[in-house]
Parts: sequence; C-alpha cells; structure tokens
Amino acid sequence: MKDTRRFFPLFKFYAKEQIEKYLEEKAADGWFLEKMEGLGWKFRKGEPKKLTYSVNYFAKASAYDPAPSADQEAYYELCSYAGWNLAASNAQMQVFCTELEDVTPIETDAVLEIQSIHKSVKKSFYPIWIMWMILGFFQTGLSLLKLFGNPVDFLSSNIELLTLILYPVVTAFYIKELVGYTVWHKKARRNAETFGSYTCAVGTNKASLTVILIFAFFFMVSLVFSTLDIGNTPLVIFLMISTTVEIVALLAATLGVHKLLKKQKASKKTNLVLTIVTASVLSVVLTTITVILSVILFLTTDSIQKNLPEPPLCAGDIMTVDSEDQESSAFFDDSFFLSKYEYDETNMEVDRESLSYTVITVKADPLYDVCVNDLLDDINLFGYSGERYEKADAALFKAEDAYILYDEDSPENEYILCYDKKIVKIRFSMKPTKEQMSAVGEAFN
Amino acid sequence: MPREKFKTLTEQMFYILLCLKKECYGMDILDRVPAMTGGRVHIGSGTLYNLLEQFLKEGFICETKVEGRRRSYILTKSGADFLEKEYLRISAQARDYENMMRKENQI
Repeated sequence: MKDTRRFFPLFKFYAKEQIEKYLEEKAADGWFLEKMEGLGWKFRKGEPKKLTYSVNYFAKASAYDPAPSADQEAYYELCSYAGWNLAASNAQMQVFCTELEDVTPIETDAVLEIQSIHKSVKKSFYPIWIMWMILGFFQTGLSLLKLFGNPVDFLSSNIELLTLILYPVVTAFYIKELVGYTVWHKKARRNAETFGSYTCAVGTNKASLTVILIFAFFFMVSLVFSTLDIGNTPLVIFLMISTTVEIVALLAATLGVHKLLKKQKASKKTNLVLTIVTASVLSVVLTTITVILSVILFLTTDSIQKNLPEPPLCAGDIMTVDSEDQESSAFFDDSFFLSKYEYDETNMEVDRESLSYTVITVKADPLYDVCVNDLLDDINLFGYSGERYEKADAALFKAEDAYILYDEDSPENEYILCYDKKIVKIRFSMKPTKEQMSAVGEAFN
Repeated sequence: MPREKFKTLTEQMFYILLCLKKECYGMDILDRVPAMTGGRVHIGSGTLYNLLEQFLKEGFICETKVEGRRRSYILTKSGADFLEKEYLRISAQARDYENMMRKENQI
C-alpha cells in the first residue's frame, strides 16, 4: 500500500471541532496528517494510534510567509513544552496533536480563542468574500442594464441569459458565507464573554462545490446548444477546450509560483506581489493567445457562423441585381425566449441594390410587445432627436402592424413590420414599390 | 480598547502576572500556576502566548532574555501596580463577602 495519500475533507476554515474529530478518526485508522498545503490534505500511513488533535489559529501568520516567524516559533515552543506537537500548518491554521492523556488544552480562554479565530478569518477570507460579492453585484447590475436597455439582443442570447443567473447566484453564495460566519461569531463571542464557553461552528464546503460544478456543467451545455445553432462546431469545441486549459494552466502556474517562492524563502511581500502579478499577466496572455488562435484557425470567412438558416428574403427576390456584385452576411442567435436573425446584403458597386433586415421570432408571447418597443426605441442615437416612427399601411406588407421611420419630415426606407410571432425591421436602399412590399409580406408571413 | 480589556483580570491573567514577579521563562509559567493553585488553575499554551503578547503591548511585562525559541519575562512597575490594584479589588470583595455572611449569621 502507498505510504502517503491525499484526502479532500472540505471543512469550513473555522469548524474547529469537526476537523479535530476527523483527524482523530483518521489517526485511529492509521493515517496521520502531514501537510495541509496545495490540493487537499496529505496523510502518511502508520500504525493506528489514539491521538488527540487540536486545531488553533495563529492570527499573525500569513500564507505568504517563507517560514514561521520568531513569534510563531516561540508559540510552538510553548505548545511543545505542554505536550502538543505540531502536525501541520497552513497560513493561520495550526494543527497540533498529542498522545498524552489528560493534557491541558492549548486554549483555555474562550474569549481569546474567538478573537484569534476572528482575526484569522478577517485576514484570510474577508477579502475574498467581499471581492466576489462586489464583482457579482456589479456584473449582475451590468447584466440587468443590458437586459432592460437592449432586451432583443439580451433575450436572444443563451450566454447572456446564463450570466444573468450565474452572477446573482455567486453574489448570494458569498453573502451567505459572510452572513453565516458573522452570525456564528456574534453568538459565540457573546457566549464566551458571558459563560466562558461557546458552541463550535460546523460545516463543510461540499454544498458550494456542488453548486459550482452544476453551474460549470450548465455553462458547457449551453455552449453546446449554441454550437448547434451556429453550426460552427469546431470553433465552439476549441473554445470549450481552450477555456478549460486556460483555467487549469492559470491555477497551476499561480500555485506553482507561490510554492516555488516559498521554497526559495522569498519574503512575504515578494511572494504576495509576484503571485498576483503572475496570475494577472498570465490570464491576459492566455486570453490573447486563445483569441488570436480562434481568429487564425476559424475565422476564414466573414462570418464565424456556418450552416446558418436560409435567408427568408434576398435582394434578388424583389429587385434585379447583378449577383456577382452582391455580398451578404448573416448572424443568428437563439435562446429559449427569442431567436434573432440579422441579414445584410450590399452591392459593392452600387448602393441601390442593398437590403438589410432583422427578423425576431418570439417564442414567449408576453415578450412580443417588449421586442416591438425595443425596436421602436432604437432611434435617435448620440443625442440626435430628429427621428421618429409613424404608423404605416400594414396591409401593403401583409402584416398586422407596420411603422415607417421619419427623419424630421422626410420618410426613410426603414420599416418595422409586425407579423404573428415575428417582428421584422427592414431597410431598403430605395423607396419600395407596392409589389416589393407585397413580396416582403409573402416572405415573412 | 486595551485599557478596558484589563478592567478586571481573569484568574489566568492574574496568575501569569503574579508568576512574573520573578524573572521566569514563559514555559515555566505553565508548570508554576497549577502548582501554586493546587491544580485549580491551568493555562493553555496558546492562551499563555496570547496573554504574554498583550501584557507586553500594555507594558505590564518586559522581555528579559531570548534564547532561540525560549523567552523569559519579568513584571514591570506598571504591571506590579496593576496587579496590586487587582489584589485590592478582590480583597475588598472578600471582605464584603465576609461582612455580609457574618451579619447574616449574627441575625
């Protein structure tokens, strides 16, 4: 059997008694804690022993210390004198064990003990929790702005919809962590000051890890559905693989640099700065490389989307065009709520043979009016105030409703047409004839 | 605030300061306190470390020797005064107790 192996208990940092009990059970099975750094905890195999473990928190320690400070060594000396030997430590967490029965616990003052725990949690966890809460809050806000500002673009994109769910969940999760700790801390401190004792916190991070994995899974699934839409399977598979590789490489490199600096006994400041610099620089570099590779490998045509649906209407359907001079591009985005198809055809020589339109297919009826209003409001950009939509003759387009764009007093050749479950925004290069309007109606009805 | 923290000493705080009337290693305090209290008061090594740090910060004790990982300390004048004040307080408490209890017996 192997000498050492790693376990992944995922206990909450301040769940002292739970961790102690776990380590004692492991010792009774012959597994002894050796190291707590890196992924999981490392245990060494030996003869089963009845040990008592004590988990303590040395607030002054830091994850970036090259070695225990002189103060920390003095602390170890006192504990060792009292019969407690250091088994392993990681940042502020110090784990001692003893074979002796009837030995004085390391902490005999509940109030002081809770102070140590609190200082350690503030140092190691508050920055992370708060940072994620702020990030999640901001991103949620941005997502909501996008949703209400451009509902058509937002609701037709699976990725945008997913981030709208993802970020609030992330924020809520870290709020829960902070609140959970604060509630326990306040109660424990009150009990310690009044009664001299407190109830230890219990909890693991298993639920959180499960939530994260579920989200990662749904994220991948939504990417797969996106590939089915745009048909550019190789590109999306490349992005999935490259994103995973990026994340793994980033974590491995950052942790690797951190560990190496520690081994080289770099100062705490050096270690902290270089670790952060590595993470930042590497994430920018890797992202850039991914983008460049995607462009080189997959962007061989104007559109990164392949196997798009056939355009319901081309310029050649309603006017005479020289097909050799026509260039067209299309974009398609689809979600549970809407699909959006954008088509743009231009004549390289002559502008009068151009045609462009956006077709929105509404899958959830209540969103119909929202989409129409979004299109009607999408005018007067950059502070201009001369544009407005007026009602147009819908029957000519075989539509239920129609609007025409006016710039001051002159009508433009841009229309919004409302069909059953479809909304079309269309721009002609010249004023459309009745026959052309009818043909458009045929195409979209 | 640190001043308020030491308004009344806990037993453990009291006995640490008492021990340090004479220069003493930190670790010896771990043995002496149970000895002088007949096993009534035990101080954990972590708690001792914390309190020695706090007392150093307050100026109640000062470090006299550092031999590798072992450190020794001694009570300062400020610490001695503080300890005396605490002694007077608990003596007063003891007296009040006796008066109260004796009065009851007399009745």
